[in-house]
Amino acid sequence: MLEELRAMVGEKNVSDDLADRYIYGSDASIHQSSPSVVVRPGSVEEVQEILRFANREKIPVVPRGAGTGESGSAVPLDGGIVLDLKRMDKILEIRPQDMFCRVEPGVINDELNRELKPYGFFFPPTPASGKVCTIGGMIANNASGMRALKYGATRDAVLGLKVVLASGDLVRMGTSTIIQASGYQLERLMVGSEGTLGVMVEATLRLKPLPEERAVGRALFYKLSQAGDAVSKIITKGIVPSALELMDEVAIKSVNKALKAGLPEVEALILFECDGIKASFNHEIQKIKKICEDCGAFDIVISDNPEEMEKLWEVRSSIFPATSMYKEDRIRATLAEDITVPVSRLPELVEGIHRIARENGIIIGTYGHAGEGLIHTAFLVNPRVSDEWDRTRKAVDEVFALAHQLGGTTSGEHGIGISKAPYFKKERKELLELMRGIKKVFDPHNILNPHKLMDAPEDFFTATKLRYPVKERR
Amino acid sequence: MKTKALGSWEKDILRCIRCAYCFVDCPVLKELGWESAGARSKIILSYGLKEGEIEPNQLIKDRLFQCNLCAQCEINCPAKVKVTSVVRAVRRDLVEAGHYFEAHRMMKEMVKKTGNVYGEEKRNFHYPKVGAEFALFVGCVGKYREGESLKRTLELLGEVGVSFTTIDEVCCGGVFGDVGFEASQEDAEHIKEEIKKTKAKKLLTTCPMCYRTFKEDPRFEGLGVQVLHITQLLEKCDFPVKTRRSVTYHDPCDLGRHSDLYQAPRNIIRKFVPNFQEMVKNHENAHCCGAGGGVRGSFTQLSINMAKKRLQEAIDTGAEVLLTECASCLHNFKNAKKRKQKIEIYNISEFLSLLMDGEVK
Repeated sequence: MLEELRAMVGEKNVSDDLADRYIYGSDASIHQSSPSVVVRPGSVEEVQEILRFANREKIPVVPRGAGTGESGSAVPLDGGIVLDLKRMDKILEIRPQDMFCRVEPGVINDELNRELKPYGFFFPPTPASGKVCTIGGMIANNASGMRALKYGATRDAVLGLKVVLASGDLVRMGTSTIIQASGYQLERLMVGSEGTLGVMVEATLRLKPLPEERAVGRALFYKLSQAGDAVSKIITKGIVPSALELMDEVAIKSVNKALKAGLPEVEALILFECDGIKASFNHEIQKIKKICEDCGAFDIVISDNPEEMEKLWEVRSSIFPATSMYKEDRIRATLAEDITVPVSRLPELVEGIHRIARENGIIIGTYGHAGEGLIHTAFLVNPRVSDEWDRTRKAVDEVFALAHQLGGTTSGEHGIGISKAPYFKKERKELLELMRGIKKVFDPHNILNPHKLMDAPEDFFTATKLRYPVKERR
Repeated sequence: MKTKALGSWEKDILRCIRCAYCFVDCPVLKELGWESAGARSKIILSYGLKEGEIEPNQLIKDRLFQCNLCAQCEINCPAKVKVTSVVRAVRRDLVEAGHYFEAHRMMKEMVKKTGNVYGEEKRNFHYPKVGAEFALFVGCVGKYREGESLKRTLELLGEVGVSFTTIDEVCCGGVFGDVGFEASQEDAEHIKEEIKKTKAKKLLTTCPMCYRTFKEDPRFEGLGVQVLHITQLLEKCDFPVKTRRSVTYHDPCDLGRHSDLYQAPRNIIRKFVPNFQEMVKNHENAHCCGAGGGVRGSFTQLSINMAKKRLQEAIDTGAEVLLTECASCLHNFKNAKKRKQKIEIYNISEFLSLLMDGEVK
């Protein structure tokens, strides 16, 4: 296999060394499972050649962006080839007159936005990992981030795709037009498919005009329930902020430790942002402020100074890694992470998660894109102690059951991967056969990221080796 | 492989959430492209070695030594993982298990034989002065690779009236902790004794790495003198000159990210440079020149490629002169510079001396 792959992409772009197999066997999830070989193609033709070969030889292929996924989507369960697409990182075209750009999959989100800025446009999805994550990975997992409430998720920005199918054939899906009604919208099917249907080698992305200005506000609440109420009321009043974020006490304390942020350690805070034309969003900001005050908020800070706004946002974008600093013997395990419910059920969800944490004797921090009904759960675990994992697994089961019961979904923006698959399968029970049928049409030999989504293992905990040294019983 | 040094860093290794924010501006990853070369991967490989999930091979060893310890990753890490400490520890364990680089072992041997990392015959570099305010320590790179520049630095010290005395130097040993070897206690004792003999109350260093070593290395505990980098001294001086040329400045990692000395060099520059231009990446986000962490010795081309990129960033500012205050950075930039590139490269102190003597404008 190595010889063939080397002939396709050059010797220096293929590695079956233990160092690379170990590294490409993990991402930001709890999972570790190595591929047999890592290949770094540099062109569409190379991707086609690799897939033709893999399809013929029935070798699994797992596409990979920056490896920032938190659920194990890019962790290969069956070995085979990991296709590192970061070399394909060119912005091919920016057409502000047509409101789109064309990019290769390895382009980094923030770098794309840096290039778009002089044109007065931007690519709206803003995952917290935007400075590292790739467009390919964002499409594969339908990433969204904190501005999705107003600007939508990645799926809303994908106009067209070029995809290499398992057979090695290159197909074009979608269009370069703002709207289309030309039959099946297969480009949308690719969004969130987590590398199971094809390898995306080019994306045509819809751009939005950069808002002229924006302002950011922060409100503190003594009680979590007050913050939940405020979020619900903001949405009910028909206000559409460009971001509406919630952080609980665990998240606040963690960020204080990591960034020396000096935030008062209350039960909850809300960050809100409005953008557009100043006269109009000032009115919205004031309305949000009033709602927060009515719900019991104190110390409300509002700013349109770029440096101050950056500081306010820094607190939010640092929570994911910072939660690892909450308590000395705890680390953050990426579990559940992005459950999403209808916004009106958010207070019940957050309170329910805290109850589940109490009942199981563990710590779960919550924060997230409250305006979208999305809550990130930070499970803080002593990774060496196995019965702590037992309690954590029970709590994960209960958190997902709660989210489903509230009419919510398993994943809002990170994808299913390995660790959420059992819950996804429960949620979409009646669709699994249909999905298997679709997969078979695209990938008859089941080489593309096999045993994920509808075919994923039933127990995420034993699906792979964990990236933690779980050894002792307390 | 048995690991010992890594044991002290277990919490950092587990605290790493693997978010990959450290990939941003990791100079080695930018050069090599493979994720295994990036900062996050050094933590993952360290975990694998520590838990016995992997055993060292050539590439694992290469990847763990392909790091300048520039600490950009630590700036970017919101979980505040001490990545460079983990890398230093895993290198210590690798070396202990016999997985070292010959270039690094040779340095150790050379220091033992000659007192400097290059194994060169001791240079006549003796400016003794009884009752001097400062004992001066210049370090191996300045003395044996950037001698002309260093001479100018000393002339400047004389011109601004700094009372200093040289000592019988042997290598401070700072580099050895970076490349997995143990630095010599005997050499540290010799340096301490030499400093003591001068009766000076302050130790002045021209090299940022030596500066850090005297401040942080436990071998120099109880040194009994105040340790200063030359930029901390020169920022208090006045210079009766101004340059007409446009200037930019490169933050050495040991001075900036590791020692938090960002302003002192800029304060000096402000005194004689009316036309100063920061590079896009500056202060705590300044890209590394590629020299440090033992990379120049074991992966020379990688090191030069990094220097070329950083030099281009300096050129992109439109500056005619690139200043820094580190013999290692200076040396690497000079090695990376192509003839057709017009930019001139100096240490701040060297440039000032030339300016005061009318040899540059």
